[in-house]
Amino acid sequence: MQTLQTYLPDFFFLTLGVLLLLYMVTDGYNLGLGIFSLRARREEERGVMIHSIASTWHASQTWLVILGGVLFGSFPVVYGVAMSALYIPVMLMLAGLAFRGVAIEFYDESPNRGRWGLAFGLGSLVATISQGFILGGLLSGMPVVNGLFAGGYGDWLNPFSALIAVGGAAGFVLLGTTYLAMKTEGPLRERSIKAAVMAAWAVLAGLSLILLWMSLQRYEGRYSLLSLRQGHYIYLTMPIFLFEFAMLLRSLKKAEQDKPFQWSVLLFLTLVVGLAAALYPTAIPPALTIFDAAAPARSLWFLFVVSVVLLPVMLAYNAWQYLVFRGKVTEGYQSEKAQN
Amino acid sequence: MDTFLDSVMLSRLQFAAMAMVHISFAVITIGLALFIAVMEGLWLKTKDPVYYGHARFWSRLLLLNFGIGVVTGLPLEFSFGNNWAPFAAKSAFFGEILGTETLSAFMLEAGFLGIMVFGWNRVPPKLHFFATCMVVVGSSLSVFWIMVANSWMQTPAGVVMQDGRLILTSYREAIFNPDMIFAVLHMYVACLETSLFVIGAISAWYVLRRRHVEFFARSFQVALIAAIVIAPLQALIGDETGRHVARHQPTKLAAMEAHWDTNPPGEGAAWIIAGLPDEVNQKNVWAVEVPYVLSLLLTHSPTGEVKGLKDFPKDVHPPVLITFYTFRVMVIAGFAFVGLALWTLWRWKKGALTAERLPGEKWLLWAWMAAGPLAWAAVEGGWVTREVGRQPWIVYNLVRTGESATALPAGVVAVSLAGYLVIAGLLAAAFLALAGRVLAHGPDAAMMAPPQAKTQAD
Repeated sequence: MQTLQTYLPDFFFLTLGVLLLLYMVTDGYNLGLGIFSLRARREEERGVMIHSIASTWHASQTWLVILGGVLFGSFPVVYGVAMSALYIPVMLMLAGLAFRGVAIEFYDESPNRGRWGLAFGLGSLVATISQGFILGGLLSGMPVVNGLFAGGYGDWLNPFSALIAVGGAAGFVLLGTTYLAMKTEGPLRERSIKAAVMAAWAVLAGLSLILLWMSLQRYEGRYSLLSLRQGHYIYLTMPIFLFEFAMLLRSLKKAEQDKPFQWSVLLFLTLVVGLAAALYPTAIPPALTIFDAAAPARSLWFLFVVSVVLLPVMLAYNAWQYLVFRGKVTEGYQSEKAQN
Repeated sequence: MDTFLDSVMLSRLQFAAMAMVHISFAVITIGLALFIAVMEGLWLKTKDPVYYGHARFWSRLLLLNFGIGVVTGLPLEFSFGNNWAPFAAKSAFFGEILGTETLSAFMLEAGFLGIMVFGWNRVPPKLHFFATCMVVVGSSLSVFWIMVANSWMQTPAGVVMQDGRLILTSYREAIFNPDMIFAVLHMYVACLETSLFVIGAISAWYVLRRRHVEFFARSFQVALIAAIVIAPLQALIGDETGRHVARHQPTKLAAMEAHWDTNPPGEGAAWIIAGLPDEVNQKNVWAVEVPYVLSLLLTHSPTGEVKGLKDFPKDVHPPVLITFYTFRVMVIAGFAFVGLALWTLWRWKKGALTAERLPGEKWLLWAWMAAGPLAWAAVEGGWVTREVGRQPWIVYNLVRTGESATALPAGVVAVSLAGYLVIAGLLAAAFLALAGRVLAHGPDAAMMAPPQAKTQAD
């Protein structure tokens, strides 16, 4: 038991990585689809987009709630430091998510569908960009003194985090458009595939710029992810990433049904694994480790038991939900809450 | 003003705004989901299509309500890190309870809600009923965990202060802290009570306007049965809660009652119906009092001792005026509900609540319509009493609120607070407008018929 106990911070590092990936992928396609909806040609088209996620978006957003809750419980210091340092982008994200979520529920009931459709798109855009700045701000490094944030409240706004925000938005649009290609038919599907190709190239460009920026920082002797002890793992994931990228482009070219979305998910998996490998055992770069930041051992035990029991159950009923709502969404589709 | 509206005060106001907005929707989600589950269960049992119609009709409102409940709940969770980082770093127990809540309750609610609202024709009726029940279990569990966390802040137990952090010594004591059982009961029953009075108010509105009278007479009858039991039950729980507060949080009790001086032995403490507490001079400028009643209520003896606020140092006094009046809002509402329940019971005994005679009961229906908003006011009043009365502590007698706020620039918090109020106001207004539209439109005949083929196959 003693041995296991020393690994509890590692367990939560891993669990949080899994939760982050689950959130990024499941809500990533909702948000990316939301951004893409700003370019819908007709209101009916936007309706299809919204209906394609209306029954499952609650669960997607809940991964963020769980991510926050588990982070608070397992690494309370990280929670406090990161949330206070990122106060402004977190507030902006919450505002974006509020409009996005409410717009999905209000869309069908409102006489002004266009207005809520726009709120859906803009809310998704604001939330996505803010999330990019949140991740970018965290990875930019934060000074921590006595378990509290000791930097400036505008530190999160820098070229690196801006690159992450733009690259992340492209990544979410990739997820959203490949999801849409899977869930729709006809012209909307064709346009989704075209947009997905563009988004994929934008992701690659964004990543290249981020790598370039980090290499320059390292060259000048300043902090970047690459200067962490395991920072070089980022390079190791690159061949895998490029292979998946090529496969994604190939399946988009062949206009396959589910494959483009699956390859996009794999891209995100690779990025998150690479990021986690480079960060470990850092909780907040450059200096705070998961061992410094962990909750007392008893608390970790408690949450460990809760997580081990409940996470598999959660994954199971989420899978069931996606199974129930599988299949294509068409324009004739009426929201089922108002239909028999 | 400069010293009053500092960063800490603004963070407190922001938390209060977020909590007060969120709770208005959360209580309805919890109670309404249970009501829908009961309706769906009755449909499965009796095959009476009216129950199916109710399940479908109220689900539409539930979805509108749920959406805004979810997006207003998210800022609350994050605010413990955003605005209360020192508290988050200090109170591991609070964080793990919140983490447990997200793991056990929220996904259950969110993961099955889609099937509950959109899955009527995609899964067999019994499986659908299971999904509905899971939403109820999830939302009820969230009441449990959030009240465990909050009651621990009210009457902390099972922890010791070590190197500036609260270290857990006993889970049993921390979870089953002195306030926990009654806090959970009081809040859960409040969710049911509020939802039932809102359902009753909406049903009364339709009956008064003679629209779908038979249909809404049914939901009115269900709501009133529940109200007849629940309103008196809540009064009893509230009474017991008051005695718990007197025992474990005497400063809060004294503030709730504007009770400044401990009653001398042999004399009873008076209950103040209304008054004007003067916090600077520590007295009431004027007060309408009923002698002996406060002693009677809290100690069951006309001369039992009730500690006055002056017995405690001034730096642990909670704000009196707010606590005193928000408590009265809740208590008056509680008594009004008991009165309404009795009145309804009397009319029921007289046989006046059948679908034929109900539209004639104008005064009763109007009273029910007033009860909806009053129930909301009671919940808000109760929460303000609970939280403001705990001040100046964030964890009672252990950690002060003033030292628990993130050192944010006041301007940043002022902007986020203003932004929150604008957005929440906008969304709440839109919610009311759209819910109003759904109500004006009324139940849809096409939607209300149960799926025949599936019922037979079942």
